Formats: sequence, structure tokens, C-alpha cells
Amino acid sequence: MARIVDDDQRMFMTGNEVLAWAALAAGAEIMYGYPITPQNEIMHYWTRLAPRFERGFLQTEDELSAGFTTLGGVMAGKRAFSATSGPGDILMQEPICMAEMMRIPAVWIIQQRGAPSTATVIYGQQETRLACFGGNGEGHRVVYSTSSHQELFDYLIKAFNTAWSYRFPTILLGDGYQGKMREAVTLYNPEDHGVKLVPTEPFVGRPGVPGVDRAPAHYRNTFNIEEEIYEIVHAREEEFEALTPQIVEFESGYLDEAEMILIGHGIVSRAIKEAVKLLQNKGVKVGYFRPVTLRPFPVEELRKAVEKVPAVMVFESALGQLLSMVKEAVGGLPVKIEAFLRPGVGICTDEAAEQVQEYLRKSSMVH
Amino acid sequence: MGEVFLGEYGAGKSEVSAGRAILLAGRGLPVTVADLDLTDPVFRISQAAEKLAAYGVKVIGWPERYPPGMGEAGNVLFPGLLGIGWLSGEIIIDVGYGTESHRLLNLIPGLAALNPLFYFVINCRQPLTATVPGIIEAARRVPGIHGFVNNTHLGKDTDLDLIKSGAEKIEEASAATGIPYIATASFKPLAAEMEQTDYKWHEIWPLYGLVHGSFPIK
Repeated sequence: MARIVDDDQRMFMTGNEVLAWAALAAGAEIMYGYPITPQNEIMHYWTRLAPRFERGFLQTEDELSAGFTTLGGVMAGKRAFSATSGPGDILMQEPICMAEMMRIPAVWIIQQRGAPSTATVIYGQQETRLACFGGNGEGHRVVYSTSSHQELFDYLIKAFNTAWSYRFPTILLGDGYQGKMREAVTLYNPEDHGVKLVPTEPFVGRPGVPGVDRAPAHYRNTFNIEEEIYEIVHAREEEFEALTPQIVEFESGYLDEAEMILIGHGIVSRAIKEAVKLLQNKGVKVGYFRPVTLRPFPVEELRKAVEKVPAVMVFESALGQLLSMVKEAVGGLPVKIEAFLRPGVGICTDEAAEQVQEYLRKSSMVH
Repeated sequence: MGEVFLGEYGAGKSEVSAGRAILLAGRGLPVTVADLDLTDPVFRISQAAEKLAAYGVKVIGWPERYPPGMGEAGNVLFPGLLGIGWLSGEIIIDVGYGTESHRLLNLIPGLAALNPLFYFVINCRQPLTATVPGIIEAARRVPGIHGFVNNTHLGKDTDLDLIKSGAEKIEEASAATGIPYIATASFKPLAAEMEQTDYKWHEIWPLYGLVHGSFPIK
């Protein structure tokens, strides 16, 4: 695979452009896509870059088709991906859950926008539940929630490796802010940073006689009887749980002696980390916890972080999607769960800090 | 007179347009900025309208919350833009959303009457314009460019050496294409530092970080 830059390059660019370069760096061979804001520039830049680096692109008639052709690309042995957002994300769920059932290592980038329906083309974290649990249910996928341009680059490379290592569809969950905003990032060739690209292989059309030289290529998303599904769903769940320690990622800070832990994912986690620093400088003992993988969710790690803390506050640009994941994860622990929910709207450092101070002031008055 | 700002997506066209408008207004000229970004509901010069008004610069374009905000699915041209060809004073047109947006200029009747100069804004820290061949290729996407504006920066990690590294590439691209290198734009404190050197920056245009989301430098 051709090197994408001579050596590490510090650049200033939009997140969507970063993702096109990251896909090149990850060795992606073909993108299938259908336009929707705010992910369009991933396609725009990919189509400008693909001919130079001998990669492919197919624009399909809709997201259903983009998703299914991505699966076809992967089954032919190509490192294939797609990108979408909002209403396109809904259509994309059918191919994503087919990938779950057939264990097809396709990669999706989802840049969340306002919801429901067409809503805004700008920003939201309202597709979090859909990205993690979309489809008609109980499939398994890996979801990375990024918070900076550098993470867009690093985690897209990682997403391809995760997909091809474990054969679960893998999603990089960003948002319109991350796609459109501009900030500095270092572009690099993965091998220069000790990152080896997991090789791909075709699912179909392999050499040899099926059943004699090799196992037959028999990938199913349809089964005849109830018990088969029962067994498959259980087996997948066990496998996913066993892999969780290898895949799960989180970030935390200032947990010792914290009176409250702020929890957020994606771009919102940047605001809460800064809010924690701001409050710490004022002598307020607060910490933060940020799940990087939303699936698998860092359940054990979050429980450990909050077991000695009186309260947590969940921040998200949605009406309680991360909140419900947190509630499920910390169930049974004697921790009070507060939330600052801003569907479709960004969260700034100052307002996050204010919310926490307001809560701590009120709770100390009660005591 | 008219000046049209074009360039790669995210090259800093709106911020440079704002800086240029303030510079011209500071010379006592009546300045109007036209927001010709029909795609992005954010990162557009209309968001700086109030701040520009403080410098005596008028902005014509959809006020925040007014544009339909449909992204690439299409937008509605602000009716006031249809009349800019007949305005007096300095008219600055910020053609947002990448090199291909120059095609939108045919929507503006009377544009030719402004005798507009087409300036191509370049940040050599964008990968597609990070090399001399890259700059030349990007500039070829837009017909009739009259000048290059160097807006090389890395946000808050910008210094004079970084801007110089961009200037060297733009000089080379200028020599190869015959398109003059007109000006170097940078945030005000760095522009002031540039004024103190003998380096050939051409004109120096200070920037103010007025467009929402721009990174002001300490």
C-alpha cells in the first residue's frame, strides 16, 4: 500500500477531510456512499484522492445500496467502508445488521446531525443509540466515539483493524461539529507508528474445492428454526463479551476524592474535561469519565470509577441516550445520577462547570 | 471595485474576507461583504456580521437562524445579493465551500460592473495545497485568478517560520503560473510581527478571528 505522506505532517483541516486521509492511511480500497450532510466532504475528498492512490469509489442510489455494496466489497476481500448521517444512518442500519449476522468486517463513519428526521444538518448526539443498537436487534458491533481530529485519524485506522481482527462491523461515531470544524492534526503512515494493518481476505471465490480443500463459504443471515437463532445470538453474545476486555476503551481523570464525576462521550467529553480542569483550579473536587467505545461499553471501568462517588452528572447533546447506558452500567450502586441534556445543541465548558457548581451548591445546602 | 475570495474548503476565505474588509474600511472606504456560501449553515461570514459592523463593514447575507440550512441539499440565495453589482464602494464577495463554488458567481447579476479581482486563498497546511504542484492544481480548478493570498497557519500553533514556509511555496507556484502573490494574511499579533521583518510578505493583511470557530492566537 502506497505511503500517504513522506513523513509525519502537521496539517490544519476539517474533520471530514481528515477522515478521507485516514481511510487512505488505513489502506481502505473502496468507499461506497450516498451524499448527506454533514459527512459529504468525506466523499468529496475521497473522490479527489482515490485516483491518485489507486483506490475506488461508487456512488449508489441511496444508503441501503451504499451499505449493501460495502458488504459486497468486503466479501470480495476489499477493505471497504461507507459514511452517512441522520436519515441516511437509519437506512444504513439494515446492511449494518446484516454485517452483524454474517460477521462482515465493514467499517462505517457516522457523523451525527440533529434529529429526529431531517432536523438540522449541523450537529447532535442523537444517533448514539441507533449507532450502538440499530437494526432489528441483538446484533454485535463495535462503536468508537471520537472527540478530536487526531482521534478521527487514529480511530479510523483502528476501526479497520478491529473490524478485520474480530469480524464485527465497526462504526466510527463522530458528529457534524467534528466533521466541519477545523483544527490541527498529524497525518502519518500507520507503519511509521508501529501500527500494522490487519490483512484482508475474500469471503467468496477462494481457491480450492469447497468441503474438500477448505470449508465452504457459507455466510448466512437467514435461519430455519427458532432454536438456531437462540444458539447463534447466545454464542455471539458470549464471544463479544469475551472480546470486550481487548476492545473496550475509556478515558478518565481526577477520580481520587471526587465529589462528582462528569460523564460524556465524543466532542462533549472535551467540554467536560476542560470543565473539570476549570473546577479543579477553583478547588472543586470533580473528575471525569469518558467512554471511548460505546459498544462494548466500559461497564466494569465505570462501576469502579463511581463506586465511591456520591454523584455523577451525564452531559450529552441528546435527550438521555448516554444517560440510559450509564444507568444500566451503574445499576445497583448507591450513586445519584444527574444529567445535563441538550438535544441537538453543543455543550460548552463554562456551562458544564456551572451545572456542576449549581448542583454541588444545592446538595451542600440540603446536607 | 470588487474582490472575490475563493479557495479550498477550509482555507480561511471567510476570515480573510473579514480581515480584508476591515483593512479597506480602515482606509475610509465604504465596504460591503457579500456572503456567497450557499452550502454550510456554519463557518460563514454572516456569523461575523455584528462584529464587522463595529468596524463600519456591512454584510449582505442570511442572518443566523434564517438560512434554510439544508447543507448540500440546496439553499436559497439571499435576495439582497442580487443587487450587489450596483452598489458603490468596495464589494468583497466571500465564495464559501471550496473551489467549485466559483460556479455560483453566475448567480450575481452585474458582477462584471464591479471589475472584480479574484483572489485565491491558500493555507499550505492543508494537505491538498501543501506542495507547489498541489497549489497549482488547486488554482487550476478556478478560472481567472488574479492573485494568491497566503493564509498558511496551524491555528494556535502558527509562527512566522510556518507562514514563511507557505510563502516560499506560493512564490514558486506564482512563478510557475504567472499568478501574482498579492498578500499574506495572519492573525493581528503575527501580522504586526511580520511588519517588523524585511521578508517579502507582499501586502500584510491582519486577521481578527471574527468568524465563529476561528482560532484566535494569544
